[in-house]
Amino acid sequence: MNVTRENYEVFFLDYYEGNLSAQQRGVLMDFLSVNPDLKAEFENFEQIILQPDDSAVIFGLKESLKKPTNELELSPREARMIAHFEGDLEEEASRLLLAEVAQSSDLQKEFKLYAIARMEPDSTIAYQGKSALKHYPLAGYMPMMRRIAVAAILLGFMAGIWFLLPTSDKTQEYAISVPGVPVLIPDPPVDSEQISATPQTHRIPQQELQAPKRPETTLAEASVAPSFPSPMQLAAMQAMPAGALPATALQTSIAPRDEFAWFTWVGRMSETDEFSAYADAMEEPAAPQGSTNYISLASLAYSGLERTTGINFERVEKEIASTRLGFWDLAGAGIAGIGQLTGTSLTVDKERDEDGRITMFAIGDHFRIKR
Amino acid sequence: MTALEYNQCVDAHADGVYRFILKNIKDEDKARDIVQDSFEKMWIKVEEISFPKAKSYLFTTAYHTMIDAIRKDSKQSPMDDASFNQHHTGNHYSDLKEILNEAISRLPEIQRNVVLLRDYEGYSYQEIGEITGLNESQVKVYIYRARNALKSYLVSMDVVV
Repeated sequence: MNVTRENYEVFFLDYYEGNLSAQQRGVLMDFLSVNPDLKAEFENFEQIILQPDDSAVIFGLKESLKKPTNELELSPREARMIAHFEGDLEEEASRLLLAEVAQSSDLQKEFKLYAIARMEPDSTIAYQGKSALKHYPLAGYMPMMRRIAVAAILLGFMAGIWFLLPTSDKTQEYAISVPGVPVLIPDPPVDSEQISATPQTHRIPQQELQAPKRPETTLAEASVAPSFPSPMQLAAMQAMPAGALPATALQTSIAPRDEFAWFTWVGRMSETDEFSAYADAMEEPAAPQGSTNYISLASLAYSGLERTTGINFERVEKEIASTRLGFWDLAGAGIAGIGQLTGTSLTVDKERDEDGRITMFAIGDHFRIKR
Repeated sequence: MTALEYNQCVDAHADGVYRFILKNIKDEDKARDIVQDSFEKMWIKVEEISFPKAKSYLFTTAYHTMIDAIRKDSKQSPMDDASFNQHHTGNHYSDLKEILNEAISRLPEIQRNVVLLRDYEGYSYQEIGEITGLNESQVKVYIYRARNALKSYLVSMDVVV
């Protein structure tokens, strides 16, 4: 490479740093001989080289920059003892170590110290409240069939209650008279402890009303088509109280149902004191003296429904209207309803004391709880 | 893993994680918080974590949460090896366990963690390295140093063997 007036500085620097060969130095000298103005600059170039400062400049954080090394900084014997207890020593090496330790009491003491220099988990330290850490997502725990079973039970219970509870009927009742025909014939009360023990003058609580069994019931049935009232008769009916509306009737004998207790407006039809108490309890207006026997259209409808379903809706409606239902009431209703759905005979009986508390609960003939 | 497996992890590892954290920070309330946080973090990723890896994930999460808590509080200053055998009060402990508990509390943080994971849970060097973020060689060095420090402390307490 030739020295020129454009690159001579590079050659100057290489010259003073000792990077030029003998031939290159000769080329540089020849250049300087033909460029005497640059020769003075060459001679002064050496003076601008800096000399290092001798004052001590120390970086004080060298230790923090260091990284841990792989050296254990232990004596070989200590390292072997630790390795023995860590399980890192080969079998032969462990045998040699044990032989070496056995020869010196000091080594034995040191060996034992390494043996006990280990932590044991403290079983008395336990985390309290593990249940709060757990999660119970429904999909992860309950099998599909279990969920279906739970849903089916709930639906069955609700369906049982639905079939038992009557729908609220706010329509006005119309009484239909059955001239010449006693609608309902009272029967002696059923054989139960409470009823038999009830004195004649004692007012029977409403919850204990039980319909008497009867061999046969004569029920009035209204026939609407052949005897539809004329407009004048209709106008007359509307102005009359419910207990005085006339209607034609056909007698129909029905077989009594023994398994279901049901209540009828026997108080209105009977002249005995015992059944007058029922009428009083039900707050029904007394039938006019000497008048024909009356039965309400609602009772007629209830009776018809009772023949088909066996459920005394009227009684249930009145009991619900006047009684605050408790858990056992709903349970009994649900069970009876399930019995209806399944076609089994599931009767539910309850007995209460004077304070209204349940003292006996029975389902059918095989399950009975008595206080 | 499933929720059932997650709950099995609670029964199997809650005590171990709690003991490990409590030995380090010596604060029951904070230890409980760390355990709860660790399990909640695992629950968030429950579908991504396999059951066999759950223990390792728990201890890793608890370890890092603990370190963050310690650094945040800055109440514990790690003691280097030179200060480990410094002045001790000279209390005469009759129980070796108490002596070792005192010794472990004097260890530098990283040595204490690795030796507790080794002795309490039986983790291998590799597993401890995965939990603590160290390589296997570093774990081995710290354990060896911790063992030596514990032995030296026993000597200083004149423990008779």
